[in-house]
Amino acid sequence: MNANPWGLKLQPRVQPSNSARLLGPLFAVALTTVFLVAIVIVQGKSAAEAVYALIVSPLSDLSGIAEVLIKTAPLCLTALGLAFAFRANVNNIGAEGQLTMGGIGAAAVAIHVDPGASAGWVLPAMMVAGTAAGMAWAAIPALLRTRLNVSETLTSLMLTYVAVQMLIWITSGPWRDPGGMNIPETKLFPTGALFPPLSAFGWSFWDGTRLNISVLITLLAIPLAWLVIYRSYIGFRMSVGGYSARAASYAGFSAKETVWLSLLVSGACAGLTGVIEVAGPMGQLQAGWMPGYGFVGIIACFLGRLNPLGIALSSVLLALIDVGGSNLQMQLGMPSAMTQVLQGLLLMTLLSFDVFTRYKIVWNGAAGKKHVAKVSPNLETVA
Amino acid sequence: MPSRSQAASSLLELKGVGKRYPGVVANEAINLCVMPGQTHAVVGENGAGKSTLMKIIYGAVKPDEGVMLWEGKEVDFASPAETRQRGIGMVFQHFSLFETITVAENIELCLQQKFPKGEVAARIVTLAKRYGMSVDPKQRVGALSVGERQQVEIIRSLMLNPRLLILDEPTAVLSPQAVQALLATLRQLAQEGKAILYISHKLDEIKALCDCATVLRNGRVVGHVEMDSTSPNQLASLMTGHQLPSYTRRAKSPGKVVLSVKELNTTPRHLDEMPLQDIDFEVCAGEIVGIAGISGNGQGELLDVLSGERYVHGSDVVQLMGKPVGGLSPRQRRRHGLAYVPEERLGHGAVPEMSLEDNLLLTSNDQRSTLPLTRWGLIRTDEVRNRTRAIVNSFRVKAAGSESLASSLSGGNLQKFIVGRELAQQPNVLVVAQPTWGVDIAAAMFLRQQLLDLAANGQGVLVISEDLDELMQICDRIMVMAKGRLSPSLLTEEATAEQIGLWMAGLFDGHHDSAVQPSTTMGVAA
Repeated sequence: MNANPWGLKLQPRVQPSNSARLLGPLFAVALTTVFLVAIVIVQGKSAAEAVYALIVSPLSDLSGIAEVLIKTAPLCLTALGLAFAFRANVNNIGAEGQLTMGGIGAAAVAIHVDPGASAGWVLPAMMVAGTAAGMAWAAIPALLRTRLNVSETLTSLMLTYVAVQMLIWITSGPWRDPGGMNIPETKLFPTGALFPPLSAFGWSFWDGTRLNISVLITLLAIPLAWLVIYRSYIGFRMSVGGYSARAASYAGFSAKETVWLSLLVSGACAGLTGVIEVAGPMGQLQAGWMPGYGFVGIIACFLGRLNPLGIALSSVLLALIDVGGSNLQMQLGMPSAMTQVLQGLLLMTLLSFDVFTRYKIVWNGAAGKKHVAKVSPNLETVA
Repeated sequence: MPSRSQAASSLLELKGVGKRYPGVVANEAINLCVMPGQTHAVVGENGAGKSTLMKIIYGAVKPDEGVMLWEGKEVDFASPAETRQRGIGMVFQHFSLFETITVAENIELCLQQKFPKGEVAARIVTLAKRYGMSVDPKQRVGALSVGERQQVEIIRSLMLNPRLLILDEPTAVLSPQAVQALLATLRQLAQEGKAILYISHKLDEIKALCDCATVLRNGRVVGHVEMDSTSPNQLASLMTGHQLPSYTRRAKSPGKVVLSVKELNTTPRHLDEMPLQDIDFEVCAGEIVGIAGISGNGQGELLDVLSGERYVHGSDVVQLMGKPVGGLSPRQRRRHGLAYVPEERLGHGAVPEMSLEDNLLLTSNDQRSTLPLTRWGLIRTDEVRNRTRAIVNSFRVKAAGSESLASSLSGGNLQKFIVGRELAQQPNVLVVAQPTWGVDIAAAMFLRQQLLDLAANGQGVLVISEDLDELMQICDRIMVMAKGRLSPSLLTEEATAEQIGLWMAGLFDGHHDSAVQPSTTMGVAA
């Protein structure tokens, strides 16, 4: 009858534990580190060197820090948009595709302007075009969901691969750089179509790094997302829809509005991220471009507990793993897939720890029996 | 209770049983003694610990401490299977039957040993006949009414020939006629020497059936009484710990029509839905109109249409204050003066994971008269907090604060909060479903008094409830809903339980058309 050899039992909590919620990400980081060390040792490398290469070396000089921030900013921006959707229980898994379309939208402006006439309107126009393209791509799952009740989880994910094919076609066909030796990529964007580096604004501290002013967009987006999620009526309506569709319909909040808004906002953020990438470190559109922020953004969202401040922190961590992962490869000769392995481990350990927010472990084996026996010793004689 | 020394001849005896859940003491130092052939009531308010105690006896829950004696001998707290072998049967509050298989198959599933083919069915027929029940072993459970399903549960526990039968709130879902039939069955079982533990908070049933009662309050035994020498009122004050207050009805005269529904018909969107047919009624200012009937006869569908959660064709079908609102959303209807308290509190009337403040905002941003709760699209948190606190205070909601999660409140306190929130909108019409379901007596009386006061103030109130006693206490007129149709209304003074029971079976106009109904619809037990 007792199929529980260790006497362990999961007992539902009366209320979800808040401390377990906050401890979850820390636990995930700790356990991922343990896994990392184990993998490194199995490979016959030094664990200390690996941890140093992964976490310490990227932060040991200015250009390393700048590289981490260059990856943090777009990741965080995508994740903030996704948080909006996930809070409303709308599963936009296709931010990567919306991001790709954002890049294509920005390139549509950038490669068609006269390199000489690099006026101030080019960059804003690229941002508008890229954001609109991301929104348009996200509008397809929204339309299918609200009209035909098709799961947005499936459609948004599948549209990512359509977007990737579109990118390959457009860079190897109509927009291919005529002077590019047949490589599937567009010509390099003119300077007016690129985000100026921070150092160009007299911020000499950042001299020699690739960090550009697009990080300011993310810096602005964090408090804005916080305000919308926690203080606005529209954010409230969407959260209600996420918690309970029945309560939302009782209150009179439209379920369609929620689906449309969450997909459009997350699509806009992903599209803008695409602009930041192509008008930043890339400077052009390439057929093989797939930065992965749309997928890693999902990890950043849940690791940050769908809270904008938490997402900012988890984005820094994930960007650090990304940059540090390259160091692992270069300095210890470990495979480049280590970055994805570590990011995946983070999400998996976090999700498994989440059991403890709703349940707690109780020992009901020997310990439990002893307790009963103490109160009524004569019970043992019968049993 | 220590003075009673029949322990030697007792069938079942509990000594010092206790059970704690995180944050709650469900049972503490419970002593209980059931004699062979005795019909023993266990009474108490919701949350007094009755169900936990019965599950301990049945073996579904293990106690933290205490001793159980069976026929005078100390025994282990065993599993339900062992308990059944010992001779204890239980009929749960929520039925545990598989709907897609037949009665006989359901019962066979629970039997330990294999019977030859057909023998189970034969024994079911014998048992049913012997105790005046009407159960066909070959029928699918899905096609049975609630009362019939309960009979299946009872027969299932009788198959093992138990010496003690436990029934947990058996009449909660039955029509008055079905209750009478059940009581007759139980009386016959008692005459045959079976002991019965009867859990209920319906005092008249206990008075009619039981020999004695053990009263629980807050998880402890607060008294043991013989029914011959105890009045229902004494029992009630034992249960609640104070005298029952009575309702004050202020004089009033019904005014103009505030809510009307005309020729409402719906087609079901999925199999579980009941089609509504020719629903026609009016609620006037200053009156409380009740809709009685067993849940699942179309009440949910009617409520969805009234609240605006479900659209119907023709905006004239529902009218508020004479204006057609059939095509309006719930928020627009709220602006026209409709407030609605749904049956389901967690997940419908309130979001469990959100604070009371957020749950106030859920419906309170559409008020016509007071300050808005949002400005430039942002929530005015101070105003929301003040208004939440005002409701918590004036409705005596027991909560740690205005930021407590809705799920942390007890059923009664959350209901008080929801009713308070809706009343704060100063509605012209209040629609309430099961206002006191799962709510303790004191809170129930408070809530009913709120409804009476609201009507006395000139507002119209529509109450949909399974609790006929409740409707009789507070309503001016009563209608009955059965099989998606609504009976004419009766003045409460002229309504009798017998007539309403007949109406619950759908017999309120000459042609009761059971042949027209799809076979899946739910009938009412005879």
